[in-house]
Amino acid sequence: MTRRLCLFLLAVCLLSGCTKKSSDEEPISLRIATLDAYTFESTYRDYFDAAFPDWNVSLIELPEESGSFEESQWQDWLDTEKPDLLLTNVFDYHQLADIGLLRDLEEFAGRSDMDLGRFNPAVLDYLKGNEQGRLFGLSPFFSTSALYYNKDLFDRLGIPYPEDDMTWADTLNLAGRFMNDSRLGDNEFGLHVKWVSTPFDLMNKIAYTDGVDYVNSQTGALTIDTDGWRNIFGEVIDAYRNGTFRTQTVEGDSRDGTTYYGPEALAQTELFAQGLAAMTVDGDSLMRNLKAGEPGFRWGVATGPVRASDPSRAGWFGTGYVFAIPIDSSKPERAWESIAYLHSERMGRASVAINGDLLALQDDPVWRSDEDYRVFYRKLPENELPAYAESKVPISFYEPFNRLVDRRIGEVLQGKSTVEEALASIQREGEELMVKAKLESEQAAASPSQ
Amino acid sequence: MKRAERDWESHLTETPLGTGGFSMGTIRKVKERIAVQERRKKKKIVPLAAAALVAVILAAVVFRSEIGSTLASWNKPEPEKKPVISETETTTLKIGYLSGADDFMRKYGSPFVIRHPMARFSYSANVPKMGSLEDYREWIENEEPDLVQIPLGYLDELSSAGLLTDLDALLLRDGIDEQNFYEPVRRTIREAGAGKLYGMADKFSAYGLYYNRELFAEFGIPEPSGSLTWEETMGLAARFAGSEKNGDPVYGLSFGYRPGLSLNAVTVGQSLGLGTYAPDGLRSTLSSKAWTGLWSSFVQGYRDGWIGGEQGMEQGKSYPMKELYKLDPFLNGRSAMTFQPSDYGSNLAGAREMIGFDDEWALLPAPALDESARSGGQAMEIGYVFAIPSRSSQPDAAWELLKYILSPEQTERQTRTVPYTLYTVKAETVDAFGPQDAYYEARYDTSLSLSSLKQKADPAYQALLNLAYKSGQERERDLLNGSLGVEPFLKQLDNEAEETLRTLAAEKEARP
Repeated sequence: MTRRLCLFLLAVCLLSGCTKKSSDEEPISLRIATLDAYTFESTYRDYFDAAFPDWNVSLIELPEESGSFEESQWQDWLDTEKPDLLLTNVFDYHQLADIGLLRDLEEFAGRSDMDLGRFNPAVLDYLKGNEQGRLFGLSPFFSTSALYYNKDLFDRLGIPYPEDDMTWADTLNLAGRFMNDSRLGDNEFGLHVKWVSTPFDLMNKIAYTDGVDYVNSQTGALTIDTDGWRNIFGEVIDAYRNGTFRTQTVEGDSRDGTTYYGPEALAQTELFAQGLAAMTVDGDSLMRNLKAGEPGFRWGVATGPVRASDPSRAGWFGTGYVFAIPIDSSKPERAWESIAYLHSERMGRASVAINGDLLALQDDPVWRSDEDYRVFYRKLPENELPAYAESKVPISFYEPFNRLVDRRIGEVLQGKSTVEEALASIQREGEELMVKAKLESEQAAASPSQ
Repeated sequence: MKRAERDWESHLTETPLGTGGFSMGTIRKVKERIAVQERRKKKKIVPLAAAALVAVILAAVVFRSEIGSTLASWNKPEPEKKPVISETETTTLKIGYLSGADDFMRKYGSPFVIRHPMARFSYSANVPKMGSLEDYREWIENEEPDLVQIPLGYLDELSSAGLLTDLDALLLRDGIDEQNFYEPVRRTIREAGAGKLYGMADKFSAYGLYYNRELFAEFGIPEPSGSLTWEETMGLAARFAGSEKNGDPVYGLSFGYRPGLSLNAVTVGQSLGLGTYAPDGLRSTLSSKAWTGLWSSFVQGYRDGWIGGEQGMEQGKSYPMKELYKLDPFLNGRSAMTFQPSDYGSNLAGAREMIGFDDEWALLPAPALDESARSGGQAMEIGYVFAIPSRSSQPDAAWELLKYILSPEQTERQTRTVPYTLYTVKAETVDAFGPQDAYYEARYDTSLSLSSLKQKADPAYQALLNLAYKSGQERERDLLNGSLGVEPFLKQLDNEAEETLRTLAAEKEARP
C-alpha cells in the first residue's frame, strides 16, 4: 500500500512538471465583421464561446451605408478593417460574391470533411444565386412556407385533404369547394392568407410563386400585359367573383405616416390558427406555434403551392445572416473552422432544442425527432437571392401603381371592362406613372437639400 | 460583539438579529462545528505535507527502477471517460424554475445545451412560487425534479427533511474549490443550511449608497468613506441644505424617482431589519427607538429640503425609462447621495446614454443603523437558491448543470447580458465587478440577511410594514408641516398595528 502511495506521489510530482501548459502559444484571435453586433451576440455568441473558448473574438460592425457600397468602397473597407469572417445579410452577400471579394466555400468543404450533400438543396440553390453560381457563403438557418390545412374542417365537409405539389389554381379550386358549400359557417374561409386585403395582393403571391414580374427592376419596363399576368388575373378574378376566395382588411393604427398593428389586429390575421380557415399558406413558424399550443383542431401540412411551370419550386424562401470568408481574410482556416462548426451535427442538435429555426442541414427533422418538418426540405425556392440594391424602380412608383391596379380590377369585377382591357390600361398608365416617378426621383437627387 | 452592545436589536421581532430564525443554541453549535472543522483542516496540513515529502524522497531512492515503467504505463492513452451527460443519448432534466421555461432557456438552458447537445429540459408546471414551506415540501416529494429553485428561508427545513442533496460532497468529489463562490453568499447559504451547503445562488443583491463626487467637490464638503451610519449619512446630507445649481435645488440625499417620505423611511427600516412587532405577536414595535430615530431624521430632511422630495413617478402610469431618469435628482446631477439597490448601475448607465448624465460617482456600502451595527455589516438578499433534490433520478447530470450555472464562463456571459447584477462567481476575463466593487468589499451580516429574509416571508411583518407606509403617506403633509409630531404619529401607528395583529390572529385561529 505504502509502496503504491509513494509511487503515486512521485509520479504526480514528475507529471505535473511534464504537463505544464506552454505559455508560448499565441491566443487565437478572429475578427468578425457583422451588420449588427446584436444579431451576433444574441444568436451566435454562445456557440462561439462554447466551441472556441480560447478564441479572442472581436466584432466590427459594418457601416450603415454599406448597403449602398460600390465595389471600390467594399474593397477599401475590407482592406482597412481586415475582417477574417463576415456575417451579413443576403444583399451584401450577393454583391460581395458578384464582385469577387469572397472565398469559394465549396473548396473549403472539399478539403474538409463537410458533406454538402447533407444540406437542404434549397439553401445551396439560393446561396449559389450569384453570377458565378458558386457557394461563397453559408447560413445555418432558413425559413420557408408550406400549405397548412385543417383536417377537422375537411372531414366535416367530406372534402379530401390537399396533396403535395398543388398549384395555386388547384388550391383555389379546393378553397372554392368550401366556399360554395352551404355548411361552411359565415365566419369560415376555404383559404385564408395573411395580409391579403385586395385581389392584387393574392395575384402578387401567385406571380411570386410562378416567377412572373410586372416590372423589370433594372430598366423599369412594365411587363404586366403579358400571358403570365393574363392567366393570374383571370384565375384570381374568377375566384373572387365566384366567392371562392375572400380578402380581409385588418385595420392598423396609423401614426406619423406609419401603420402599426397591435396584438388585436394581428390576432385577426390568425384565422387558420383559430380554426376558421380550411387552408392557409404560411411560414414554418406557424408549425412551431401549432405544435407549441393546443389549437383545438387536427391539422396537416403539404408542400406548395408549387410553380405551375416547375413543380420543384414552391414557397417563399429566406436564410438568416450569411457567414462568408473575405478573400483577404488572414485566418481563412479558422474562419472556416467556425463555419464548419455552425453547420455541424453538434451545433444542429443543440440548436433544434434552443430556438427551433429550421436548420440548413437536412438532418433537422431527425434531430428534432419530428418528421412533420420534412415538408420544408422538399422544394427549391420560388424566389432568388435578392439584390434590392440594384433596383432602378423608384419607391414612389408603387403606391399609385397599386391604386391603379385596384381600380382596374374593380372595374372588371363590376363588368365594366374585361381582363384584356384592364391589363392594357394598367400597362399604358403604369408606364406613365413610371416616367413620372423616375422624373421625381431624378429631381430629388439633383436637389438633395430639399 | 456583545449582544448588549446591539441596543437596537431589542426593537426587533421575536427573533433577534443574529439568530436568522434559529435558536441561539443551534447557531452556536453550527458556528462551533464550522470553526472546529476549519481548525482541524489547518492542523492536518503541516504533518501531511511533511509525510508526503518524506515518502516521495524515499520512493525515488527505493523504487527508482519501477518509477520509469509506471510513468510509461501512465503515458498510455487512458480509456475514454464516459461523460456525465451523454453525447449520443438524450438526457432530460426536470427543472423547477420560478420564471418559466423561456427565462430558464435564455439564462441557463441554451448555453448548457450548446455544450451538451443531447441535454433537454422538461419543466415542472406546479412550481409553488410564493408557496409555503409545506407547498415546497409536497412539490419536491411529488414531482421529483432534478434541479429546483427554492427560497433560501426554506433551506434548513427542506434539507432536514432529507429532501436536498448536500453539495459539499459533490464539490469535494469534483475538486471544486468553494472559494470560487463569493464568501458572504456561501456563508449565508451555509448558515441557512445549518452548516452545510444544500444549495447555491448564482447572484445576490444589496443596497448601496451612491454619491456624486463632483457635487461634494463643488460644495467643498469632504467625500464620505468607509461605512457610514444613517445618522452620519443624514448629517452629511444636511450639509447640502439650501444648495442650488443653475437655479435648481441640490439635495444631500434622494431616493430616485420614488421620492415619498413614507415609502423611503419604511424601505430603509426594512433594509435594516427593524422589527414591526414583539415576540408575543400582540405588541407593535413600530414606535421603537430605532424606528422613531429613522422617521425623525427623514421628516427633518424632507422638511428642510436636504432630502429630495420633488414630484416623482405617478402610481399606475407607465413611463419610458428616459422620463424616469429625468425624475431622479441623482441622475440629473442634483443630489449628492442616493440610497439604491445594487442594480441601480443600469440606471446610471441608461442616464448616461439617454440624458447625458456623466458626473463622476462612487459607491459605499449601505449605511448601518448605528455604531454597533456598523461593524457587523449590512444585509444581502439571496431570495432563491438552486438545489438538487435528493430524489433526483439524475443527480450527476443535475450537478453538471448546476456547476455550469455557477461557472466563471456563465458569469461572464451573464455579465455581458445583464451587467448590473451581483454574481456569486467571478468571471475569468470580464471585469465583472468594476464600479460595483464596493458591493464585493462590503461586510455582510449573515444573521441580519437571514432574519430579513424571514421578515419578508412573514405576512404579519409585511402587513404592519404596509400599514406604516400607508399611514405615513396619508399623514405626510401633517408630519412635514409639524402639525403632527413623529412620536404621536408612531403611537397612533402602534394602535393601528396592534389592531391589525389582533385581526390576523383571529383570522389564523378561524382557519381550519
